[in-house]
Amino acid sequence: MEIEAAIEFAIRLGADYVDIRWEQTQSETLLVKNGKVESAIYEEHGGAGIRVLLNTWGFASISSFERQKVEDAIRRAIAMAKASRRSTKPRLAQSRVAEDKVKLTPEIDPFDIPMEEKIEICLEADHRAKVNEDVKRTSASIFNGRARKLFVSSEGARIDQELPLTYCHVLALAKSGGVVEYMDDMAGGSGGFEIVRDFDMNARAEDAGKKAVALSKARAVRPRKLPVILDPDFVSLLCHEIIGHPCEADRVLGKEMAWAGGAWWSEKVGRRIGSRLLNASDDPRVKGAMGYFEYDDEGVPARKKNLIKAGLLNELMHSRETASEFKVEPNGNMRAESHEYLPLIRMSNTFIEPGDYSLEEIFDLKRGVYLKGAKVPSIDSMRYNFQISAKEAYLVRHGDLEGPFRGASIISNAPDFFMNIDAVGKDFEMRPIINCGKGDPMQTLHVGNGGPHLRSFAYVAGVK
Amino acid sequence: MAERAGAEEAEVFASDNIITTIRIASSRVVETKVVREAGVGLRAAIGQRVGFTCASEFDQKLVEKAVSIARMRPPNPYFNGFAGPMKTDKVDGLYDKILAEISPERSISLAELMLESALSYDRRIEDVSGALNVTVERCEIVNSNGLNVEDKATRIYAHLTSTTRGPNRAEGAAQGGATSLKEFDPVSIGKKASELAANSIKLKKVKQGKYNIILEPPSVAELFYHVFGYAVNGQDVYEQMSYFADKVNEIVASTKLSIYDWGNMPRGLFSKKVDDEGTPTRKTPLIEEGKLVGFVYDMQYACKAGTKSTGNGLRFGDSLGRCYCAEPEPYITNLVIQTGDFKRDELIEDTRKGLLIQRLWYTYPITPQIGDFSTTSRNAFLIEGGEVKSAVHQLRIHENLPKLLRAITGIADNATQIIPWGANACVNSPSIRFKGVRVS
Repeated sequence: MEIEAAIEFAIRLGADYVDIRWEQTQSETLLVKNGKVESAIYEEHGGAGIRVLLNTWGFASISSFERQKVEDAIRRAIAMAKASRRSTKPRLAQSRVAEDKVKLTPEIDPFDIPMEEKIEICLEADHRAKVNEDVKRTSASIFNGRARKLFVSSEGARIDQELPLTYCHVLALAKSGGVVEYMDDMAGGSGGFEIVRDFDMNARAEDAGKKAVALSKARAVRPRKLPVILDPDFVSLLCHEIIGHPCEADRVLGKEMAWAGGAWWSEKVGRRIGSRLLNASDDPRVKGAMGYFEYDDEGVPARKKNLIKAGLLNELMHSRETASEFKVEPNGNMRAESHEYLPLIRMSNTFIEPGDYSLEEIFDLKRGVYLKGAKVPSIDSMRYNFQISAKEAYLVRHGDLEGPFRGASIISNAPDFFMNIDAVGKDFEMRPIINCGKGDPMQTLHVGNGGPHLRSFAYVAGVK
Repeated sequence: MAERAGAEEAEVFASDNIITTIRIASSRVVETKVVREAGVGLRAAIGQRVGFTCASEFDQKLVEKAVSIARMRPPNPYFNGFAGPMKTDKVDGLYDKILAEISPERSISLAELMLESALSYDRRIEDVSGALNVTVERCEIVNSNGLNVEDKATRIYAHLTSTTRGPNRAEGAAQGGATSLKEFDPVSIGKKASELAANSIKLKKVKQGKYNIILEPPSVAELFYHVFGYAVNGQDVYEQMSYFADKVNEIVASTKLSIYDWGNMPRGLFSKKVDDEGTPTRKTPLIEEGKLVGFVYDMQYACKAGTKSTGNGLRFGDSLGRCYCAEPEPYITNLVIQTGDFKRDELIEDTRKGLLIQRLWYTYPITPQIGDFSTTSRNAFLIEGGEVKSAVHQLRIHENLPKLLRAITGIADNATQIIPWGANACVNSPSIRFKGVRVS
């Protein structure tokens, strides 16, 4: 059945608005662990997600576009959208109706690289991570995929996007004197095999091995409150958790209270929430970044959003529905993990903008702690209080580093942390995050997050 | 087809899951959705070389691809063939035909019943959000060793958060589920969420320090799923990421604590007849009266550990259930914490001063290899003189689970099946009291 015919069928059955996302994806995954090939996988998936609007949203997904299956799915979605007695019909803000074709061609198509070659690369990197007998476990992996998404709506939008996705990862775990520590590294983005080439898996694996060994012999950090310097990898996770998520307009409106939570700054758009040095943005159009796209899953053209400007909360990330509630223009942040899911407001590439400080200036501290590499977060339901652990930490004394130390994390609340930012670096790095979860059923999405080195003040916690 | 293409062994895993979700936000139904995830995964083996392909629509080309992957990759010494046919027992209460065939309109009316129950409980309730999910899972596993088994399961599960009006917005959350429609009670979920919210309006501040803490079933489930579940997973144990590695037969917890994984638990929310390799599911002891006795395994990690599969080889691509698009890995199914001697109210009455925590949030092992975790409370109350006195502001707990397992001073008899957000397992959780927990 043609997609346009499906749209007309849904309108005839009473839908006020319809959109259909038809997707096809292919991917390869290679995983080597401890010298052995653990997985060598090829996948193909396809299908359509049909969204209809009547009294409320109705949605159905199918894996085949046979006429009968499409019509049954549409009937089901419409019946559900009509059935609720307790619903208020959402309003959608106007958006430019686009017809476009976007194809991001990678520099090196990873599907042209034979799987055997990718396996050899992973085996070699995995071997390099085992720098000595203290390293007990190693792994190396490569994922490459491509997705073609055709979006068609009853408003006349027709957008065909074809995007690549590649990432690679290395890990080493060391044990010394009963202490177990691990170090990992990864690269990824909307690109091809050039990402793997430029990452240099062998060198990174060896570095991970050496660092894991060093950390397994390191002292634990002593807990205390003091100035902290965060590297771009740590900043990327911090930005993700306490800037990106609370800027999602559905959270701000309290629509995600059941699971994902709300946002502590709900009433503060236009007001100061941090230091004048703090600027943060979300931009889907950062070429090569993990969260790159030109149109979101509502067909809204992507654009950069200035979320925080000079410490003022400036703009949120919207769907057409939340944009209508806020009386603003939609700004292209709706995405779904696949055709099987309804889109939600998600980050694309959310980052802290670089500032004016050199690294020498940032590290010019009488005493502080430098935290490198983000490990695991824990954030409260309003994105106010947080704890994020680091892969490694160093004491800073008058620009000199002592360490590494293991087991460090920072605990703070977002307003205090933001207000205490007193240096933002000129450098910048965008990092890949491949597992951002939201929604019910939960969806996992890849996003880009990043920033420069920055300095603030927080409680540094140690191991328990 | 795979054998004709050159495979010596082959295994096909087909899954067909339908998930109906009714989402509630701002006290109304905002989304009604049906997701159907169906496809086929094929593993083709030539000796110990295994290739895997999967697709939502399978064809000959993918069969040949799986065989070609097997040909070109090095052998996996931990692959010793696919499972053979084994005797499987019926699992009581696994599949409810009425629930499997529930109409979307009926699902919506159940969600609305839950919503109305929450709103009508107390006029101070201003906002209700949550979701109701109905899952119907079907799979079939066939392999060249003669295995040919079908499995199916149904599950209805809902959670709701009620929030009060006014400047000090208080929230309360409740959840519940069943494998059959007749055992599902939406009214009680709505009522409980609003009752907790109404009781949380005046929040008191609590000084940081050490407290005796009673975790209610939802917070026990959150803690044990995120911070205990991986530690008893054979994969994490082998990879040295578990704080239980090298500790089998040691005392690791209070003697009050016994935990097992129960894959064929009657009416278990994540029960299965067989795992996703065809191995029959069973009860696997993990901790017995404080002693660590076992882990959960699939066939590969059992081979690495020199033992046998425990029937925990599962395929989860995402949170939609057993999925054709993944290779098997060890996973917990229904993690059962054995109930204790206390009534839940007796646990409270027996606590001179402490905290009662209904719900924990964003609980992650921030240093997984040693079991340090961090979490915050959503819905906590102060206990004084054996009585629940007042609701308290959100707390952060940064602690070590191995230490807390030894600090258990009481377990209640009120076990409830709880599915944490995004989980592909369930924790059968009673209320548990811990001594000397640091909060800030």
